[in-house]
Amino acid sequence: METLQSCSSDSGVGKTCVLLRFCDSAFSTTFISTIGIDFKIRTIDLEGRKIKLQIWDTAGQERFKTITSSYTAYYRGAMGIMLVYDITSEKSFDNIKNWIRNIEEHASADVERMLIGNKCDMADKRQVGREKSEQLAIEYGIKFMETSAKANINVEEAFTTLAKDIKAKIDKKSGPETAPTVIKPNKNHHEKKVSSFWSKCSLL
Amino acid sequence: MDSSSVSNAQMNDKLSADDDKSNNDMNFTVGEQNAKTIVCLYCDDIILRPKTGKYEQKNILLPRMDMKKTSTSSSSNDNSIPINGNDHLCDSIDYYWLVNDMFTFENVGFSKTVNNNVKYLICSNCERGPIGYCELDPTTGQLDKQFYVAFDRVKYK
Repeated sequence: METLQSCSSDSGVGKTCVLLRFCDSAFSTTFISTIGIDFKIRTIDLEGRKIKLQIWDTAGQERFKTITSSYTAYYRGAMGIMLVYDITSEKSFDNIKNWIRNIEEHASADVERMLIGNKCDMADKRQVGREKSEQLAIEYGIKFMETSAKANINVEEAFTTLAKDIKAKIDKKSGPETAPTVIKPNKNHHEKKVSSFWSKCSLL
Repeated sequence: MDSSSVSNAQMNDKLSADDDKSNNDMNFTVGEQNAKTIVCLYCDDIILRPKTGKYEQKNILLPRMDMKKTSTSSSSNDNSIPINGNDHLCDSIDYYWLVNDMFTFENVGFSKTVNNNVKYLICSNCERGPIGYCELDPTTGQLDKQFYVAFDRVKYK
């Protein structure tokens, strides 16, 4: 319990150390450990913008088909979707393609997506190669990162990266934060000011 | 019997009872909405910002957070729900904060579907719960747009 108390900040980013664990935590006696977690909603405050993320862990989702039929409305309202698989489970990675397709079908077209290979601290049990995931990410034009929730590797970076991309996108759409609410036309040249290679991919 | 006046009276009782218990002189509601930020009992993770939940009275059995399975003594207690073959002790909870859009939540986690009809809400950070629930439409299998956070299973800041 003490360890949880230690990560408290208002931004939401600072606490992400445990966010990708999905029942992999020490609390084996908690209620949720017997049922399993479906998804999480996380709000990140980035420079005054509220970024709403949805996190899915495909490792726990065994029967994809039954899931998708009822999940179509879940993505609506998410600005970003984080898809987490387990690098020590080939099966969890196999689910990813289905998820991406499902998101493409049902989420709004401009939702930012990110692929996360979790448990990268468990190198000896690795079943999914890094290259394979990188390739998939390129194929779908989404970002990819390997993380370890346990060893706290890259978790915060993953959330921050996704949040930043989303913020950049919102800012581009609505202009600078201080601007009045009137949206001016002919700002197309701004579209080309992409901040990184990856955000280019997301414009597909 | 005028049900609305009863529920109002109970709501006032409830609020004053909770004032005595832990949150001295705190006003819980603005209009019908939560006046304070709603946070996790254990890790203080923010669940709902002020004025995002509507105070509602509804009697529902919610499994206990400490999760004692009662598969051997279920006969002695009506307040239990079978989950994955085990009976879970429940509390009967009467007061909730109602939210109509899941993205209204600052942070929250959803359990997998239980008994084909409900998902429980948990803290997205420490994963303790259930702090609330939402039901699934029996015909479509979609989540209903009503998310209930149990008044007593969260803190107010």
